[in-house]
Amino acid sequence: MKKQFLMLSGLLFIPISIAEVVTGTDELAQLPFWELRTQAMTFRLVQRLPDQTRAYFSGRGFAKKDVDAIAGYCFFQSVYTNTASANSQHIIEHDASQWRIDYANKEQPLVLREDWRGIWEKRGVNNAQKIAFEWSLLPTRQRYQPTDYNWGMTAYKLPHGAQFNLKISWTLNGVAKHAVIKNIRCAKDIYIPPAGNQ
Amino acid sequence: MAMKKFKNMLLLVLFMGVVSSQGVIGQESLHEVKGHPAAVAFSLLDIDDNTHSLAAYKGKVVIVNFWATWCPPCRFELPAMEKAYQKLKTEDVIMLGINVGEDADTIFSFTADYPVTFPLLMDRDSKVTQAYPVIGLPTTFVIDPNGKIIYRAVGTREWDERSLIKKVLALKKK
Repeated sequence: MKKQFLMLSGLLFIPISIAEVVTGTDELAQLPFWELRTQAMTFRLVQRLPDQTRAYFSGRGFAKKDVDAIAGYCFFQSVYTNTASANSQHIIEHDASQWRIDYANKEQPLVLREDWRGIWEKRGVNNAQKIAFEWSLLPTRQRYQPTDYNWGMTAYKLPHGAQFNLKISWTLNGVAKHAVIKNIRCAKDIYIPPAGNQ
Repeated sequence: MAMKKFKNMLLLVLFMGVVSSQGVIGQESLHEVKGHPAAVAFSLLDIDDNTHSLAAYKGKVVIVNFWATWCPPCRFELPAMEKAYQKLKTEDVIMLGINVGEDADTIFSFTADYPVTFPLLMDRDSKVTQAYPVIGLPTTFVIDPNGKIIYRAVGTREWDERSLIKKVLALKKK
């Protein structure tokens, strides 16, 4: 019984380290998602089709050459949420510059707001477009109090259709946490005809 | 028998762990900003070409919401903000929506689908947005009559929810 009690006591700490990844089809986007769920935090990646990305940035006034350059990257709609109850004290902080993509036995960082600034500078994109692009991305660093959340795209320099693992880290009340979201798939560059034309 | 008891206890512990780790989703909260910093002064045009200066609203509670038309959670939040505005404007609370980076035509077209009656200001170069600082959209600040930032909300809130309205109105007495 003492042994059972000790085992049970140990379980009380399980939520601190439990991290599960749920996959499925996102209801809004009707595209695959991968969601990390752990203590006081969820992080959801929803696949984006290159054509969605093209349409979105064309709508923001980007020239075709720049739209095509953007669509060459792999994008995910990303939602980072502090799921703790409103009256709790759980503070989550993320720093996406520490995250790593594990693809083809090599690690690489994400393409972040700071990287895109340099890309757009070189390509001579105007200020309004730079602003639209920057604010469309998930912030590189953010602090989430209970019930806070952010949406934004995350960008990966990977081929369309690539499958990769994402090593992410965050802090919960200053304590470092890590997890790996495995077998995420970039969307293929496919054309889906509108409903009724199929 | 002992094994069955153990299994039941195990399930209970796991359930409690899940509840305590996930919290109760759907509760609305405004987080107090440490030290109540002074709100950054701004003067911006709205889509009808009227100028709004934060200084002109000194002595009133001001809710400042940073948003963009392309931001899905911002769109989700606007109807609740409008409902809250209808309740708060009679209490002399000011609500300002600061759009990040877009022009008057874009915002005007957008309001056909998302009608709001509170002023929509334009921060074309995003300088005010960055000065606050806003890191992601939407982000909302609640400023007290002395021009101090009291609350911040990152992500959407049900602004017309009674507990939030109460918190905002309580600042009038400060």
